[in-house]
Amino acid sequence: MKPENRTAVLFILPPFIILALTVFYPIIYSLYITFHKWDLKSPATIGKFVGLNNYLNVISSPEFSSSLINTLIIVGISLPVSLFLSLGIAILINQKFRGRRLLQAVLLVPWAIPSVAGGVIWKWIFNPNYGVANAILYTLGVIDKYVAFFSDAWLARMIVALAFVYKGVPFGALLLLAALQIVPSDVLESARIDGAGTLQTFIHVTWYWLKPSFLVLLVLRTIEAFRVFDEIYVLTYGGPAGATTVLGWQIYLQAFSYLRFDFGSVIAYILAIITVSLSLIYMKVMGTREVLGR
Amino acid sequence: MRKITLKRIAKSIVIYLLAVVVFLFLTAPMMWTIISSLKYEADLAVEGLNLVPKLGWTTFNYEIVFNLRKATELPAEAGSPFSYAQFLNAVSRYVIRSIFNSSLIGASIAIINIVLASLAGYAFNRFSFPLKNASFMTLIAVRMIPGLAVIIPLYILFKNLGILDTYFAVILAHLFYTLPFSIWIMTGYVWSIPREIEEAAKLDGCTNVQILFRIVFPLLLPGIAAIGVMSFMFSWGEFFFAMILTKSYEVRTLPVILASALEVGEQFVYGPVNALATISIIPSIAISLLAQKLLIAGLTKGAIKA
Repeated sequence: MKPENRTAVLFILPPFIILALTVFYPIIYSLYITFHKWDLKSPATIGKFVGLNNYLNVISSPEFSSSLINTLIIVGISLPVSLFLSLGIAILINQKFRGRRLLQAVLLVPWAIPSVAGGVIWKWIFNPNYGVANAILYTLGVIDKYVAFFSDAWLARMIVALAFVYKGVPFGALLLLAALQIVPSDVLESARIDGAGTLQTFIHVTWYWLKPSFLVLLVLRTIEAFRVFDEIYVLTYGGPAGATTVLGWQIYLQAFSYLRFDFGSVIAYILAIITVSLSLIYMKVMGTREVLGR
Repeated sequence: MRKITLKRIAKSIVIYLLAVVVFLFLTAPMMWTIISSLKYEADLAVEGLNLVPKLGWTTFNYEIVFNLRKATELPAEAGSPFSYAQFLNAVSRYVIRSIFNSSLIGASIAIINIVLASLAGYAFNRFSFPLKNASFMTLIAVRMIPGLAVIIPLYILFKNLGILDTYFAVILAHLFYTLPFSIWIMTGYVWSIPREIEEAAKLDGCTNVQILFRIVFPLLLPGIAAIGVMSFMFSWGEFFFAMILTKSYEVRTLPVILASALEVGEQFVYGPVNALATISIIPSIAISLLAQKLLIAGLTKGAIKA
């Protein structure tokens, strides 16, 4: 081996050994589990080969389809809101005004808050008896009596989506802000001289520079939305009546409540396939040639 | 001329209004929890806005969280000592330990990330070796794999290795999340160092090791700081792995204890829970304000091209 190769291997091997232990091996082992019976409640049958039965059982179960639908609902609510807010805040911070630096400084706040603490914050705000959300809505006359937010399927889903959106907005805004700041000012200037309005300039000029980042953000946020877990653990525990039981929560339930490691692994595999195929799009948009040097 | 000025004024009014709304959106939820943590239970368990507490502001909740007071020391009109006693029993006695655990695990994660990612990032940019592109792509793909997808085999593996319910288990799991991201960012930082500097040093007679330690790593300091801070913050807030891979309070982290505080006797003990949430928030917010530039650079570099 060339000495350069030896050094490279020495530098790169340690992280890959760790990843082999924590990701590569588990992914393969998980595939093995999906083809075998793995019910911790009946230890004697663990490891019995069952072919595709686990897959068939999971896919035909109502729990799976309802958690897939719940996932799509929460992704569907949170994604557009999240992207819209990120874009809006990025455009706002890109304007020149006093206090802009302050706004940029606090922009990181929602991202920095640990997700469990974020869950506690929202749980307290939407408390059915003493929550400030109820107090404000009641005072404004929007509601005529206090609402039990977490007992209503749609309200509970919206609050989970809100918690998720809130935590993700800073990252999205930063990403789009960075993109906005590379729009060449002379191009914007000449568009203005040509008589383009603000909206026209945005659509025909700014968007061209924004698009790659926006696409990256879209994919990353979708992937993240598919793996929401902490917020659900704190806010709804999958309820009411399973309304916020998303795929991630279903994995947790199957594996660590019902002790069905086989069913849990099947759903985990499906989730991984969804997110990794989304990430292929991401990699294609991003390109890696540049950073890898020669 | 007049029309333009009016338009300008209108525009800046709209901008300031929006700025205030966004500012409140970003900070108010957290502020509400901090404000609530400074009120007695009797001032929290009321309907209506109740911005200024009737019984006055208090640090009693924090003293309960840190196990410095007995529940019976609660002023008579301030709430029922019963729920405070339950909270003390189920949560408070583990809090200090969990802060220590979170700090220890977070610091380990930061240090391991810095060392391994600097070396790997350097190798990825400066050397060519077999399977380079494939292994780099693998790293990016790993970033996308949800922890949920590996938790079951990981749980079995750690159980068989006998490291379930140890710091080691949590640290390994957090490395899976942070390492690919850190390597990706460091590769970008290495890329931005001109190769000529190293070549000049080599002509001056520096050895390869000297070049790394005297020239490359000092130039990489912003990147090193960014991944150190980011991986610490990630680890400090991580819940899923920390919850599933640990059982005993000796190793449980602050988010896990905070989550357990929500179900004290089926009851939400508002004051202390808000105080504990505030305690977990403060380091993260402090770091995010102090290291703002680093974090912004790291986040944006990590997502798009470095």
